[in-house]
This record gives sequence, structure tokens and C-alpha cells, in this order.
Amino acid sequence: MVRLPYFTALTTLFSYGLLFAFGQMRDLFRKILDLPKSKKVQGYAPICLGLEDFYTRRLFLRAQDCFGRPIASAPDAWIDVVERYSNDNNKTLHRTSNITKCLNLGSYNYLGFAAADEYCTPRVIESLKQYSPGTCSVRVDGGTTKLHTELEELAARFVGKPAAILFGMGYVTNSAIIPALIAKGGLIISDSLNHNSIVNGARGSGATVRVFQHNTPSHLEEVLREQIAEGQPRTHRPWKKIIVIVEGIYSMEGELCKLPEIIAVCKKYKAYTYLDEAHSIGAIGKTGRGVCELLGVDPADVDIMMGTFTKSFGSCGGYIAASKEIIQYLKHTCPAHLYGTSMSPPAVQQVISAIKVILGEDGSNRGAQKLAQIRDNSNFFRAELHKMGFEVLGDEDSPVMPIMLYNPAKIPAFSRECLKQNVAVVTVAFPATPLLLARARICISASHSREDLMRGLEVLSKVGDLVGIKYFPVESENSHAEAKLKKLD
Amino acid sequence: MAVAVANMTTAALDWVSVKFNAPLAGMVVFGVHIHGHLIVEVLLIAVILFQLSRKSYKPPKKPLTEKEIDDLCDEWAPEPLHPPITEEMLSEPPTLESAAGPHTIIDGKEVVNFASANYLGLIGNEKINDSCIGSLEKYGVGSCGPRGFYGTIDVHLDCEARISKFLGTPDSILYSYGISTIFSVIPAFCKKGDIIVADEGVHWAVQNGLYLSRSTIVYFKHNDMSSLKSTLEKVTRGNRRAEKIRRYIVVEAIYQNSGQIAPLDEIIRLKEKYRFRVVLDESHSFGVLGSSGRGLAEHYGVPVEKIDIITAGMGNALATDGGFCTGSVRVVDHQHLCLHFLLVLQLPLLIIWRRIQLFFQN
Repeated sequence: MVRLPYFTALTTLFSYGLLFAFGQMRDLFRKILDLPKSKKVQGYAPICLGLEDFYTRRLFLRAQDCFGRPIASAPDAWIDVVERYSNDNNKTLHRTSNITKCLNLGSYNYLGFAAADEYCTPRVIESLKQYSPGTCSVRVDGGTTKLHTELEELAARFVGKPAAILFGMGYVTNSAIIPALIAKGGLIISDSLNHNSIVNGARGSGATVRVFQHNTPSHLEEVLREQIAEGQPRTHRPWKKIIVIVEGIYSMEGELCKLPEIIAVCKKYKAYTYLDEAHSIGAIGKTGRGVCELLGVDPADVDIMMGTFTKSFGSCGGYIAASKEIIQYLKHTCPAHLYGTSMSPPAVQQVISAIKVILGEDGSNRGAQKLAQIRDNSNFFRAELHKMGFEVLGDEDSPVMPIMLYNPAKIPAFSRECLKQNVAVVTVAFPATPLLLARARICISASHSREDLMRGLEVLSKVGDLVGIKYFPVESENSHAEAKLKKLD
Repeated sequence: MAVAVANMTTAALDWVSVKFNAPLAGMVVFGVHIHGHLIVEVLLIAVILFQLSRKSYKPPKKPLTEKEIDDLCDEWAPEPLHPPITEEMLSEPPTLESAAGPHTIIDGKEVVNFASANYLGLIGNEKINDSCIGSLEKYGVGSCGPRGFYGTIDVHLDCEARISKFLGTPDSILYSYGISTIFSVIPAFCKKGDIIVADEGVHWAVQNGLYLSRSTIVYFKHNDMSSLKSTLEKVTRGNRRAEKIRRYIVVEAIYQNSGQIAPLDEIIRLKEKYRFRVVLDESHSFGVLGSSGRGLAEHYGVPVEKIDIITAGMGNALATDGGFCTGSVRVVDHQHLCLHFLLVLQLPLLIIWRRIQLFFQN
């Protein structure tokens, strides 16, 4: 949990207030200077009214060079970041042809399948030659190839459910499935920090949405009891069905969800559960099967399991795994399946090969090695960051590590200083996180070696001192040395 | 009989008036004469005030007890997540065993493929396959991150530049999935309170985008220009606020559901007369219409600057996956910061970069 000290909160609010004031002053001057100029396009309302994009124009643009950095290689452990320059104070950025090789602490490359792999890449190339890079059709009209059916069976077997269905993009999976499962008259109870795709899907479905406190099963129980007793708003008829939506790893917090307790509550009140494992499938658990395996939950207890192939498998697309009947129903009604282009066959082959490597079916134990590596890497990195005095969020074993920054000025400072030292990090601010809680997010990969991690730690420590984000006291080496001396005496 | 009753009532009334107006009943307070009837009126007012000041009767509110909530929870039975499975739902689509080109193999038999939208026949092109293999070895398959966090490969940016150059628009932006292009673009520009005039026959993705935008939507008859004109007239006439709110016309170049082509020159004329912005979805016409494949604008000879926003899914003529949106610099800039174009496929995008090169060569 984030503990925001008072002094930091005050300084952050003061910084934002100052930026806001400056932004308003600039807007005022812009209005005054533009007054003599006639309106360029008569009769058309502007695309964005003044205040709607105030945050974007006046705050986000100042730090725009920290986002959207183009790269010129595969997103592996080390990447080539393309340098950019700006002539008009960050309003437009131009590419140069200079490339800097940087340590990649930002991409979601948990198991290291992003670069060319010795088992996956030859098979992908073969499938490309056989099936061509695209199918040009929707799944029901001739876009289903043997690879698609093979992957659906394999994904279902990997996750532990009877059947699965594939989609071309992870975001669309959530936005299109939730409306197919629940409509007006149903209730969706979702975690307060759920991803944007889930929020969009819930809004698009037409059902009533209620939120429970992040990762608090007791509050979930309270909300469930209250809602079942009250029924639908205004008519008080009983709800048609209730779906509770949670995520495996929350990408901005790095926390695992308290799955066993939440499942117990849902079973007691007969609500359906929907688990979004976008970040956790393939990355955690002893054999990579996600948060169910790690926390000891039987997959049959979760009604619908969703995941994406973009993070751990180095490909693209998403899947839903559930019982045979639900999947048959979804294949028949879900619009993303009926109208969306099917997944590209080489991408499907990449996932098939990646899953085979993880399961060990390729004849080697590289999968187990990768899983052990990512677990060791994450735990080591987190422990070291704690020792250095950073405020790191997230649970043990989770490869996502947010480091709190808080102040808006520290966001571009941290990012730029790290880039100067050849480390590429990702910083996140409003609107992806609450306004005062800006953070830098580290994603560890199985392809990082111990030397890479040590280099990363060294740079982070130096930059952390420079920027001033070591909010916790440093666990110094001196106390260990003193204890040793005492023993000797 | 009646006379007797009348006499009695008058006698009674006389007696009452004598009593009230008798010197005893009258008082003198502060030099003002108070007659007897005033006392009755004062008493009446006092009774009325007393009744008004009392609280009205409301039945007391009793919240549900814990046990009652438990009972309700036990009684409640949800519907199943899916309706009963019918015969129709069990049918499976045909499974291809080779590339989805003009001829394909299903169940061991060679069949002619009329189902794939492979308009330019680019599936199975040798040059493209070779360049894909090269890019696969260099960049891998997926980009492992959103555009904002090291998911932007330099090839994506090159691709965007090529598309703009090809179409003649200032700027463009790529999306990662065909149908999600249009249903991300529409909510990015149209918010609550705006007016959208859309064709009745637009496909599901456009309808979803319109629903998500929460604007006021008015439909006109499918591909009927007189209906469009009358709708525009109705929406703008007498509406003084119409100047301040954003107005859009949403049409498709080739309608997916009916195959008709939208008459662009008429639409542009109407748009300029009534001051609407046009959002054109060119998924099926990019690479198909026009003498060099530049789409509907070339087909009708309309300068492409007149169309405000052009979107297209690349899953049809370009035989890949993803979509793009082009327009003026302001339009594209606005979308950079609406976080909908998240993770991007690399592999197919390199394909289309090559394809557009092919267009130039042709």
C-alpha cells in the first residue's frame, strides 16, 4: 500500500498548483495574442474546447519526450533507443538517426520471447511461408486455420479449462466479451483499480456497475450483500446475474489479487467471477500457469479466465477460457469474433511454440529455467531496491515493480537522467494513476542477466540520489558490519 | 311545520347574537372594543396554528436486519451465464489448411476462395514474405508494450509517414486492430452533447463507436442523399446552439453490409453548406477504388483535404492486421494522447510498409 507522507503530499500539490497557474497564464496570453487574428475556420466548433485538453497541452507536453520513445530493435533486454530532438519546446519531436543501446527495464517481456528465439522463430518462419502473414478474413468466414484451432486447445489445456476462444487484440477481448455476457438488468462489481479495457467493456454492456475497494474481500462482501438485498435500482427487482471482475496482477501496483478469499466470497453469494490475467499468465506460478497456480486456486472455481499473449509470450492477441458451453455461445454471439480479423498465423505459431517451451514439450527444460530466472530476478531486484531506500510497491514474486516518484518534476528528471546513463525506464503519471501518485514502473524479464540487473541497480541508485526519491531510510551495510564485529569480539 | 322550524332558528340566532353583543361579552382593551365574535375567531386561529405545528404522521423507516439480508441472499438465484445452446451454435466454421489466397485447401480438398477480403491478391506474394522474414528475425513478433512505453518501433513511424505521403494527407497514426480503429476514433472526437449524423447501414464497429461516444445520433436512410440533406436541415435549422457544438457526418466508403459506394462529392457539398465534419471509414475501399488505389477521394476526384478524418482497417486490401487514421495534424495529434491504440503488432506492419512501396512502383 502507498503511504504518502504529509510533506511530500504538500510539495506535490504545490508543484501541480504552480504548473496549473503557469498553464493558465500561458493560455491567457495565447488568447490575447490570438484575438486580432480572425478565426481560421468559420462556423466549425473547435475539436477541443479550452479546458478539455488543458492537462495535455500545458502539463503533458512538457515531459513529452519521456513517452513514446521509438526503438530500432526487438524489445529484448538491451534495446536501441532512437534519439529525438525538438525545436519548439517539446511540441513536436523529430527523429535523428542516432541510436543508443540501453538496458530495457520497461517492456513487458517477462519470459524473454520478444527477440528471436531458437525454438520459436524457425517455426514462425515456416508457418509464415505456409499460411502467409495475414488471413484477410474474419474467423467465421474463412479466417480459421488449423493453427487457430490448435492454439485454442493448447491455451485451454495450459490454463486448465475445458475450452478457449482467441481474439486478435487484448484490449478488444475485454471490451467485446463483457457486453456479450451481461446486459441491462445485470450487475458488474469491479475492483477500483481495474484496467481501462474492463471499464470500457463494463460501460458498453449497459449493466449497472459498482466498485469495491481495491483488493479488499470484506468490502466486496459488504457490497454484494447490499446489492443483492436491494435489487435493481428504482424497480428493486432481483438482479439477473452478478459478475465480479478482478485482475491477476495489477499493472500499476504490482500487487497480486487476493484470489482465494474473493473466490470464497463469490461462491457464497452465487456471483460469477471473471479473472483478467493479462500480466500474470506465463510469468508467475511454478509452471507459469498464472495466479491460480501461485495462490493454490482450482481453475474450475473461476468462471471465466481471460489473458493476453502480448506480455509473456511475445506475440499479440488475447484469449478467453471457460466451460465448453460458454465458449460455444461466445463464438456464436461475440461481435469481435464475428467481425474482427482473425489473428495473424505467424503470431499464432509464436504463441504455440512459446507455450510448448514453457510446458517443456519442446524437449528441453528452457521453460522451467526461464520461470526460475524471472522469479529470482524479480525477488533479487526488489530486495535490493528496498535496501537502497526506494519506495517500491508490489508483492513477492511479481515481476512488476513501481517506484514512487510523487512530484511532477521528478517524472521527466528521472526518465531523462536514466536515459543519459543508458537505462530505459517507464514513468507513469495522471491519468493512468491518481494525480498525486506518479511512479516509475520497472518490468523485469527472464532475459536479464545478473550483470544487467546490477548495472540497472547502480544507475537507479545514482539517479535516485540525484532526484531525491529515496523516501525510506537506507538499510546500510554498516549495521551488518557492526553485527559481525560484535560477534568476533 | 316549516314555519315552526324557521321561527325556532331565528329565535336561536337572536339569542346567540344578543349574548355575544351583550355588554358583558364586550370588553374594552386599550380603548378598542372587542366584540364577542372576535373571541371565537381567535380561538379558531389558535386551533389551526396548533394543528399546523404538529408533525405529520409518517410510518417509521426500518432498515433490513442482518438475518433478512442473509435470507434474501440465500433465496436469490442467478441466471446462467449463457442461454441454452441451440443447434445453430454448434456449427463450426471451415478450417483452412493453407494460406487464404484465391485457392485454398479445406479438409484436403482444393477450393476456390470467395470468402477472404484479399482484394489485391497480396496473400502469398513472394517479395512480401521475404521482407517479413527479414523483419521477423530483426524485431521479433510482438512489440511487448504500448506505444507510449517503448512499443514504438521506427518502422511504425516510417509506415505512418508513407501512408500520409501516399494519400496526400499531412499526418497519420496507426492502430493495432482493424475494427478497433473506428470505435476508438469516434469517441476520441465526439463527446456527450455533440451531434452525429450517421448512415443507417454502417457496420457493427461503427455502431459501437457511436454508442460509446454518448453523443446525440441521428440516422439517415442508407446511402440516400436527399434523406441526408433533410436530416442536416432538420438538425441545424432553428438551433442557435448548433454553432458551438461539434457536428459530424459518419459514412463508409464501401458499406460492408450492402456493398454500395457512398457518393462523396454530394456529401462534401452538403458538408460545406451545413458546416459538418466528415468521418469516412475506408476499410474496404483503400487500395481498391481510384485509379491508383488511393480510395474514395480519388475515385470521385475530390481533394483529400476536404475530408476531415479518414480511417481504414488494414485487414482487407492490405492483407495484414491493424488500422490507421489520417487527417490534419491537429486531428492526429489529438489521438496521440487518447490512449486507445495500445499494443501494436509489428510483423504485419512491416508488410504494409512494403506494400505501399509496391503501390508507388505500380
